[in-house]
Amino acid sequence: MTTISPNRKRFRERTRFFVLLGVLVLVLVLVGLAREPLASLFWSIAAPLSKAQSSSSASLGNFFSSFSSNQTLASENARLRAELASSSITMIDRDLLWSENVELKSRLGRPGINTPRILAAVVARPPQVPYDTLMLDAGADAGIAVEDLVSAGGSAFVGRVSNVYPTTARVVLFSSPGESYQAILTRAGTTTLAISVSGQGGGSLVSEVPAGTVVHIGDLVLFSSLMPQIIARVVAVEEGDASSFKKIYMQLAVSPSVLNFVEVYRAPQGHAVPITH
Amino acid sequence: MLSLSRTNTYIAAAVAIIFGMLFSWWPLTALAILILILGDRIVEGVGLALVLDIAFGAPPGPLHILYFPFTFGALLLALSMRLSGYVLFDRRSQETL
Repeated sequence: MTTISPNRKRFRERTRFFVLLGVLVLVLVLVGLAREPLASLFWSIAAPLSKAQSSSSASLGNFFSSFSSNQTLASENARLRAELASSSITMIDRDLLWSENVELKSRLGRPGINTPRILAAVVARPPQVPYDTLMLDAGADAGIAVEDLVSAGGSAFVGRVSNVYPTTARVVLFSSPGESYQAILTRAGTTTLAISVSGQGGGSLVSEVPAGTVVHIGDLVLFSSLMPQIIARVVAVEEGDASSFKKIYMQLAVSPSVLNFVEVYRAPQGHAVPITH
Repeated sequence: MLSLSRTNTYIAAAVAIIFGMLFSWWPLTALAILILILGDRIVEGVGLALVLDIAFGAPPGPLHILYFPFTFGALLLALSMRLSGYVLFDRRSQETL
C-alpha cells in the first residue's frame, strides 16, 4: 500500500494554486493594458443584444399588463389623460418662456447658445449596470467626445460622457458615488446659493448648507450656465438640533432607470462640467 | 464551499447570468461569480469577473483605484477560501493509491 505524505500533497496543491493565481494576475495585467479596445468590442456585440432584451422585456410587461381589470385600466387612463392635459399646458407655457428667454439673450449679444447635440439610445441603464452609469448606442463615430454633457431632454441634465468607443459611449451620472460637482441651489429662480453636491448612487445626491439657509423640498439644483442646466431636485432636508449645517438630499431630475433616449451636448471646450476633485 | 458537482455549478451560474439579464439587475449576474468561486471553479469565476469588469468599466470616484473590482473581489474570495481551508479545516487525511 502506497500513501502520499500529507505535507507533500499540501505542498503540491499550494504550488498549483499559487501558479494559477500568478497566471490570473498576468492575464489581469494584459487585459488592463487592452481594456478600452476590449470594452469597445464587448459593447459593439452587447448593444444590439441589450436592445433586443429591452424590447422583449417590454413585450413581457405588455403581456402581463393585459391581465389587469378593465376598471383599473379605465381609471388609470382617465388619470393619465388629466395629467397629460396639465403637462401640455405647462409645456406650452414653458416653450413660450424659453423662446422669449433665447430671444432676449440673442438681443443682448449671446446668440451662440444653441450647442450642437446628438440623439442617442440608452442600451444599458441602472440597475442593469452598476456605478450609476449609462451605455449609449452612439460613440466617437457620431461625434461624441469625453466630458460632453448628457441631457434627458430639454434642460434636465443627467450626466457626462466618461468613455467613448467607436460605436458606443459610457455616461457617468451625476449621482454616481464618489462624483462631486459645484452647483447652484435655486428657489423659484430668485434666491441662489453655491453648493457642492456629491453623488450617492441610485440617482440620489447629497449636499450640506448652513443651518440658517432656507431650503424647501422641490427646490432646483443647477449648473451655473447661461442656459438653465437642471441636474437635481431637493427631495428631503435633514436638520440636526446641535448641528450648524443641514443636509439636503436630492434626486436627479429624471430617474435613470426609465431613460430610453438622451441628448448629448457637445462640450464647447475643455471641461464643461464643474467637477470637484 | 458549495457541495455542487461541476455541471451543477455551471448550471447555477448560467441561471444567475440569464436571470440577471432578464431582470436587468447586475447583482444577479455578479452572483454567478460567487457561485463559480464557491463551487471551486476559480478560473471560470475570475474569467467571468474580468468580463464584467470590461463591460461595466472601472468605478468612478475614489474606488476608481480598484480598476478591476469584480476580478479583485473574485481573486480575494478564492484566496481567502483556499487559505481558510488550510487554517480552519483538517486536511491531513491520507489517500490510498
